[in-house]
Amino acid sequence: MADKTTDEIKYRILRYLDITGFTVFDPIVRLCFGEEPKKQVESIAKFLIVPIIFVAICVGVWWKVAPEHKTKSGEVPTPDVVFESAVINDTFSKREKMKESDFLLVGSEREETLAEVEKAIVENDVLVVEYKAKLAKHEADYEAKLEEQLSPLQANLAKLKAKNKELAAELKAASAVEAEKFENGNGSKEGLLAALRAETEFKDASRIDEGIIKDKIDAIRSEKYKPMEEARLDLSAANNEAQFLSKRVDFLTRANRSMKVEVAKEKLEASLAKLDDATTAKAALSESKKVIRQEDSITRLEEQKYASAMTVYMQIKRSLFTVFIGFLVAAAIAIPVGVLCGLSKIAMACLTPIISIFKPVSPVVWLLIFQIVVGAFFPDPESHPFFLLMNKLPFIGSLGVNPALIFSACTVAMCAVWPALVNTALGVSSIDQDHINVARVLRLGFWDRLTKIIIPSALPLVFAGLRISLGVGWMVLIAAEALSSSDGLGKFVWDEYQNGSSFSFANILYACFVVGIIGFLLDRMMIILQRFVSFDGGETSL
Amino acid sequence: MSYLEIRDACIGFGTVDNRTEVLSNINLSVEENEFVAVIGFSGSGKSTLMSLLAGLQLPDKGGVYLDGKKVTEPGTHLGIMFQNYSLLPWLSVSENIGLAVKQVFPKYSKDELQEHVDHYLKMVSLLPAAEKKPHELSGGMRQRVSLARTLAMKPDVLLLDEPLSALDALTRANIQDEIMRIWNEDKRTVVMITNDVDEALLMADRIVPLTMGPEATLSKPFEVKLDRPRDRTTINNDPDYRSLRTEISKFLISMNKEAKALRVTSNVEMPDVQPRDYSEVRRKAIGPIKIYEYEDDEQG
Repeated sequence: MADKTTDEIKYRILRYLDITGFTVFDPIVRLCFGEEPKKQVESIAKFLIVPIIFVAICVGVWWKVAPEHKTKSGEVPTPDVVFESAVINDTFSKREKMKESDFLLVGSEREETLAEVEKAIVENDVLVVEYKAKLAKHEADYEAKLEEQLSPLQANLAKLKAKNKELAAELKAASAVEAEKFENGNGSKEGLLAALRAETEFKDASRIDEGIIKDKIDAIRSEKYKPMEEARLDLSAANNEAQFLSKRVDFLTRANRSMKVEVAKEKLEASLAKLDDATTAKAALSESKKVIRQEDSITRLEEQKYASAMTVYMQIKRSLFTVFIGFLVAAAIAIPVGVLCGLSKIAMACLTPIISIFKPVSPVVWLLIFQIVVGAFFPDPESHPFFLLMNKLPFIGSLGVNPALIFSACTVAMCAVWPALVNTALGVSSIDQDHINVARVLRLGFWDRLTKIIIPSALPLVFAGLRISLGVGWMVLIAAEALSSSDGLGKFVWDEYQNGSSFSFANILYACFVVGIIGFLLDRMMIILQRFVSFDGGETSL
Repeated sequence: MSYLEIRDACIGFGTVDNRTEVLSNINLSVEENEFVAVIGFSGSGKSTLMSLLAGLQLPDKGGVYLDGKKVTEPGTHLGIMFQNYSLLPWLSVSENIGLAVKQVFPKYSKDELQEHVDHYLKMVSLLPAAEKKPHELSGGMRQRVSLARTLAMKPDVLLLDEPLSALDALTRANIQDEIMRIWNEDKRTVVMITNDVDEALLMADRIVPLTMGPEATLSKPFEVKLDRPRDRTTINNDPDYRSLRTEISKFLISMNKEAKALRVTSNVEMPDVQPRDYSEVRRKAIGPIKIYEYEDDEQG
């Protein structure tokens, strides 16, 4: 009995792996259930270990080659630097979250947190002092080491320079002697030329000799001293933490929402009291105006939200939202039109020129076109009712819907519509003649024919098309965001490219991986959907 | 006038000046509740004949008449069972049948419909597989589902288009028996197309050979007057069966020979083409050949 249940579990896991397209991990599951261990180990070695080694080699090559190439924005980052940038981005977003929660805290909770933060500040200050001392020590060490390495070289250089100077002076004197000979009337052309040539030759040679030593000195200077670099990073991390903590204190006290409201209420009280005491009409009027203004500001304060800086996760969320909007629009257009094209040869003939001409148009062109077109619809986006409505919705509101998002989504839709359309048309037109005969014998009406025969039969190809569409849409979106400065991963990359900090190249590579991994997951999602609708249990290409 | 009739039907394809007649002057009369087998070689136009009977194709000349009325379009009263099952792969077995039943009996309630479907599934002994998808079934089971679907439409005429040709010998025998049993229980007019003399002899009242195409036509029918029910194990010893079998086989073989003799062998004379010797040209040419110059330009 026990065997049967374990078998069931095993086959269930294997089926999930099959559906999700991770059949590579089959042997591991089978091995865990003790099925033919030798065979499983062999296939693990072949199809898991070897690929892992290959990828490891690729990473190794990256690690080795990257620092060799110096660019304007520093060396090409190695994998560890990219990973670090991922960690930095993660910390940044965590800190934003924390600040937001601080901003919203009220009452005793706020006080408790404030106490905690203050304690943390004290602890961090200790660290800062410690790191400073450490850094000073390492700096001194480095200086000493540098001095030790450089002093003989510098001494050599000075010696060489002095010697060369001496020799150069001698040669100069010699040529002067030759020149003077002309004054005396016994000058020789050859003699003077030779002397001058010797002089310049010596100068060049001595410059090269000095250059060699200078290069050596430069090389030693540019060598990084690991402990000092580490100490510097530690210190800057601690300083960042200190800055963050002081910001938190701000958000727990002065900038805290409840505190702000309280301050405003106190002012209101004062104004009300003054209004009570008012004796002249003028004073009463001005005080009551103040009261109204203060009441308004209190309601505004109570609704105020934390203005978070864009973290990479928010960019991801927004990008995903945009791509899905674009994709859904594309699907909503492509599927009906594709079905129409598949059903009617006339419709196909009508649409073929449009499809053929617009399909190869670059997303950049579409972006510009939509930017102009969409822009015309929303002359004043800040107060347009559509955006006001959108930004009040619970989830969508937090993403900040604006015209940039709309035309990015339109660009995605425009580029993603073609594969889905063409595949749908193909799926519908290549329906099996036998199935059509069945429909004819049964005398199915148009609607039944469409929903019971044509669409189910075309679904696998439709989904294959949608899968390509989503992939294209995701690629296009990143470019569109970069170009249109619509918040999202594309803008993240663009901003990094523009601001050129020491981490921006690493951040760009990090974004590259994020985009790739998300694209991969989207594709897998579509594969799973495709598997669910394919009636013949057929394989789906990966 | 017979129940089902084809009168002087001709059908062909191609343009006006390059036309191939597939069937010409087809005449066939089938009485009510008669079981007729049409036998012929592959490629002789058997399936086209079936399409004509089912109304899926209309003849160029002549017509098909059912109960005196001309057939102009397919319908459920002409229950055709296709050679390659034609089940809808995205529907389960019972949904496949249910779709057909719903079209024929639109007034059925859900329960009545299910009852009807189950009845026919039971008839082909496939009730346990009702919820399976066609691709999970064997060929024989699929053909039985197809049979159940056709029967469930309660057609006036049952048209079987080589229903068993895709099956192995054992499954074939099984389904032959099944069809015979059902036909005995629930008599109706049947036209079956086959390429198997034994199958035709076992099942049909009348066997009509179709001559070799193109321009195939029906020749003189053979009456099968063997007693029913026919038992495949003992029928082989029946002298009538054996003589009829020999007669039909002989006829078919002679027809094949005749067709071969009639076949025109045409040899197209090929032009005498020799490959050109370019080495000669190059030797004679002054300077490089033009095409190289062009390529150089491209690279420059």
